[in-house]
Amino acid sequence: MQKFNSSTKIIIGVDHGYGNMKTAHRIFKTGVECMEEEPIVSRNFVKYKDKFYVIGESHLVYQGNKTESEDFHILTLAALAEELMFRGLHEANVTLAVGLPLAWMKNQGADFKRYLLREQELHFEFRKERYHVHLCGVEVFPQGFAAIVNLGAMPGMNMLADIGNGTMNVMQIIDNKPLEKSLVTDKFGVGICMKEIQKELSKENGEDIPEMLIEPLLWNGIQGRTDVTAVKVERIAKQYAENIRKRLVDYGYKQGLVHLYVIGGGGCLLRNYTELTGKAEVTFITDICANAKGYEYLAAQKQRRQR
Amino acid sequence: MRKIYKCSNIKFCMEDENQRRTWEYLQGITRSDGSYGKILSDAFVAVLDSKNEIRADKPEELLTLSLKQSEHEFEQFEEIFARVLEAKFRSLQVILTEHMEKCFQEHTSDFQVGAVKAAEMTDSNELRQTHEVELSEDMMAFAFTMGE
Repeated sequence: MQKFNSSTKIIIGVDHGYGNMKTAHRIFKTGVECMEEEPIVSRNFVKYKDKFYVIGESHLVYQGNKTESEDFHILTLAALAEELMFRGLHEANVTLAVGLPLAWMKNQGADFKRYLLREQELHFEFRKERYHVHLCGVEVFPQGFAAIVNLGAMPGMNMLADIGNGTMNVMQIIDNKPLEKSLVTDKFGVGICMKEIQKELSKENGEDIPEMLIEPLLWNGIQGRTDVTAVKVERIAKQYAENIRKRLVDYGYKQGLVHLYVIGGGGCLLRNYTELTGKAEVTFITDICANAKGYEYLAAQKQRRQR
Repeated sequence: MRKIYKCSNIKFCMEDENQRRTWEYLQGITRSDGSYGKILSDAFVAVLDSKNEIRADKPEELLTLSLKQSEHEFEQFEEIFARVLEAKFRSLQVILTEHMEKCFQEHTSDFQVGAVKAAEMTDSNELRQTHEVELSEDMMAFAFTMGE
């Protein structure tokens, strides 16, 4: 075990998505599979309390409440390990900075905090490396908002659209003031588009097409491909992106008048499959770890103000 | 007519390569190959006679044989030298591995301390950046209030 100065405290931001877990420097898929015995093939597992959890072989299904299962607790351990590994640590006093969709904050914020903080001394293994984390506290911030809060002042009319795998979260910010009544969480994440594409392609091929074969077409566009698969993906992705745009209009987006900030994996679809690309009043935040970085930023700000 | 046989006990040193090989060779012979005495005497006489012939008639062949012997001796020396070098190399490897482990442990400790400092620096840098970005107090307050 490496030496550790027990008085040192660090902040680790973790973005608990349904599709991917993100920290400031790492990203991995959310699949969790519990096993009683050590996995034979995978090394990508968390060992916690004599159980083995294989991480990242699939995506979680949308749950509506992140505290309903053990999944996000185990994924948090994996995220902590990933980030500690990045920082060259095996032990740390950690303030965990996390987020929830904007509209869930009031109802689920306290529960999520309790859920993550129920055990403060965490002893676990990840990829056969031992870790010891003392959780000093958990800070919960609004997802999406955290990613733009350090962009500076936002005069005029602004709209934030955080399009994840499970949900799309929208909020308006007028002259630096977030409008609470504008908060919307819509269960219209990229997962819907993915399922639609898989359904359409399986009709033709007679078998399910894995997500990993479709994802590059969504994140990067079809890049000049003219084969049947690419054309179908393009058609469905354009349709989904157009539906997103229509929903944004319903929630108050006015092209040319409102500055739109798009974050999350869904942003790639809007960028690749709509005409919003290249418009001066649209900002795509392409850093998929932006939320996690934002959480760390906000937690540091909060600690500074409390001193 | 009855033949006269005389006995001679021969001891072969197993640590000596040539003696060991000879002993092994003798162990492998069968009755059809002849007796120990016959085989050894034939071999000795053949070698001794050939040497004598070379000395008397063909001095250039003596030189060649002498060179061949030198080569053989040199090869043996080389082999022994290689073995000594290998043994030395292995002991150096052990010493080097121990040294590297020690250095690595010291380095990881230093790295650990460095990483902790870097983490502290990152946090303090982030705090410093706070002054550089024009933050909206309303937005910050909103983020903090939502989390309460």
